[in-house]
Amino acid sequence: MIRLVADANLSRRFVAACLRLDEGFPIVHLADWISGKHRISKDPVLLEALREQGLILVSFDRRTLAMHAGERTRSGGGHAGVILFRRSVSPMDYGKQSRLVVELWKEAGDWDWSDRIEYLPRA
Amino acid sequence: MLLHIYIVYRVNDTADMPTSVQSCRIEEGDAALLSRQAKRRQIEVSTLSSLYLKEKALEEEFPGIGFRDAAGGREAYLPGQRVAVWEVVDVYREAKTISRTADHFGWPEYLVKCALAYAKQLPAEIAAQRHWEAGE
Repeated sequence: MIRLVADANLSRRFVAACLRLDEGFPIVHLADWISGKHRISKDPVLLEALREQGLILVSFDRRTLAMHAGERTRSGGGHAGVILFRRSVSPMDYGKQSRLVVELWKEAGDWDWSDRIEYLPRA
Repeated sequence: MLLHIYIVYRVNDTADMPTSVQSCRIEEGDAALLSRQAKRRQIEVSTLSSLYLKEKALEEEFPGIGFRDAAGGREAYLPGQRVAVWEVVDVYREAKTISRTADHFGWPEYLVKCALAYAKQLPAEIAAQRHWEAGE
């Protein structure tokens, strides 16, 4: 069952790398999730759609997503969880990205991700 | 019916960037809409008018570019792709070629060219957007 959605600023190669590490890893790229329906959605719309499905968004977008997710938490709308890569992670280092997410998920798959924002690498 | 309203604004009011004062006439309904939006954002109507005018002019100049709210201010992005221009620039710096950058995102090359053209024209703006990141 899918639990994570990789944002448009992440490459499909990142998703492929996660699946190479763990072939059953529950991730899909945004462009492939429900036929790419939310590929162009703005953050508030996407966060709402993901909340309805209980899906966590994985992204590089530190400038807008944290802000919109925080606004949704404050307004009571909430979100289903966001994982953000820190600047120290190269956008093209698919190996490191996948290792960080797969490792996190081993520990955090059972967490309550409601309104949670996690940064990788973890501090 | 036209409302005789003169909107005065300043653009890029910094020591480095000369500004000019402009006036324009807009319809009453549009003025009310602008006023509501300015109130919602808690800024002056003139400030919002200036922002809209600047961004619309840039959108006309650089087809494919739009603007959105971000922590630290507005940012240029590719509305059809959810990706900021500074993010495209970041990948291009590593990828070195337009082709590899397009491959990373799974886009046609013209979208990368569009973002890079904007970044080339406004390097300081893109650098500032890249610099300002939330939550770090």
